[in-house]
Amino acid sequence: MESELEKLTNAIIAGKRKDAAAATKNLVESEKADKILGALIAGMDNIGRRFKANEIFVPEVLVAARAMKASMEILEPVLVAAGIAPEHCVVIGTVEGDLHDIGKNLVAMMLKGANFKVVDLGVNVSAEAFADAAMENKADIVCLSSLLTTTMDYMRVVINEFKNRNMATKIMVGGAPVTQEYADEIGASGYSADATSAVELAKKLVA
Amino acid sequence: MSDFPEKSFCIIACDVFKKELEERASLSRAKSCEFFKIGLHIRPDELRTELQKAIDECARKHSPDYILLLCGLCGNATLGLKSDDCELVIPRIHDCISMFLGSSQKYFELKRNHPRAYFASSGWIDSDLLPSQKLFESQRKAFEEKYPDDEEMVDELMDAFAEQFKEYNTYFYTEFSDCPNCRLECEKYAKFMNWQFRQIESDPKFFEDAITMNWDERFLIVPKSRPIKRGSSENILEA
Repeated sequence: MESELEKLTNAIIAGKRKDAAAATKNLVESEKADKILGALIAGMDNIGRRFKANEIFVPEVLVAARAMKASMEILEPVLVAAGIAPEHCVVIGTVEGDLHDIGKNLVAMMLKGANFKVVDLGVNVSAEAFADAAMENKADIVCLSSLLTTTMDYMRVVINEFKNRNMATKIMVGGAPVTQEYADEIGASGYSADATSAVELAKKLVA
Repeated sequence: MSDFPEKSFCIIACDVFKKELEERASLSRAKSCEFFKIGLHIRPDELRTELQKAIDECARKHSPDYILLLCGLCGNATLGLKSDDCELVIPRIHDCISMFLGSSQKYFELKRNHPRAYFASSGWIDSDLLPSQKLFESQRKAFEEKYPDDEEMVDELMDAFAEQFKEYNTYFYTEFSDCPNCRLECEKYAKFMNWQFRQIESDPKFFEDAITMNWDERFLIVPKSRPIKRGSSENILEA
């Protein structure tokens, strides 16, 4: 017999928004918040791994993310009411010149699931906008995403903007063409290859 | 006039350049020309494996002095490629658009001024991979086959499929092949997507220099047994 937590994980994997919302509504009555978040993360982790292995495609990832969003919308006020407010803030965006946001949205969703406050600046974000938002929100971490080899070099521009403003905010980078070697070269605080490891890295950076 | 008059070469080209190459076959004295599948840049590891196989086979079959790779960095797919038997030549470009426009500089300029542009060319039109009514219909069919009893899911997936293109607003069409129908097709695509359509000027010189061995600093010549590496933002590629 499938438990309600398993139902939630499976609804995320199947991309069933209504089922995810229904399972979350049931769970908030009886289950601890961290268990519910864990079930969500487990679902998205499964999606992330299968996407990487080319077993599923972009639209299937997007519907899973939408299901997780539907669940988070129910869960967030419950977390706030229970006093489980996010301790750390992340500003996230896709760098200037780049319009791709699927990976960025996945990371944002997973960070929310890990109880970070996430300020999503969207796509085509300038270095100044990243630095302004980080200052305004007193961000602990800024996450930069890029899907194109033509735009990844803009990550360096963003990092230099923070240096010029003497801001010590940690900067994480990721996206298809980005590597650990490249992250080291441009002076990023860290690199992650997928959404799950991005959450691990973010936790480590604020620890 | 070739810079390498005594040397032989073969071409391994992306399908995106098929029409352009066929129309200019008489200009080039390449010993052979092989094509690889368009669109594989989204799976760079797979493309790298395909290309390495094609390089090794071409070197074994034709023993050329050079193999010209008619592609670019293509999502980092060409990083790590090498040959122990001949030198590789590759234009210092990120992708095919620079080749159509005539230089990487023109590409960057265009992207800066029009960040919401979606590029198209005759090769891309032929691929059926561009956002269009045809692509949306084939995608819907694929989802219907995968989720036969769940129309709601199919609708949701199609909505998500469309979401991938939400940030674009203009088809930028470029060509230097003779394909009036391709332009018309692209105009139809733009109408379906509710985007604007613009034809941008292309410049075949870079392409023609590539296939006639006029390999100056715009091209990377990779010595035997050395892998292609990522270069600086100006150089793009190095060895």
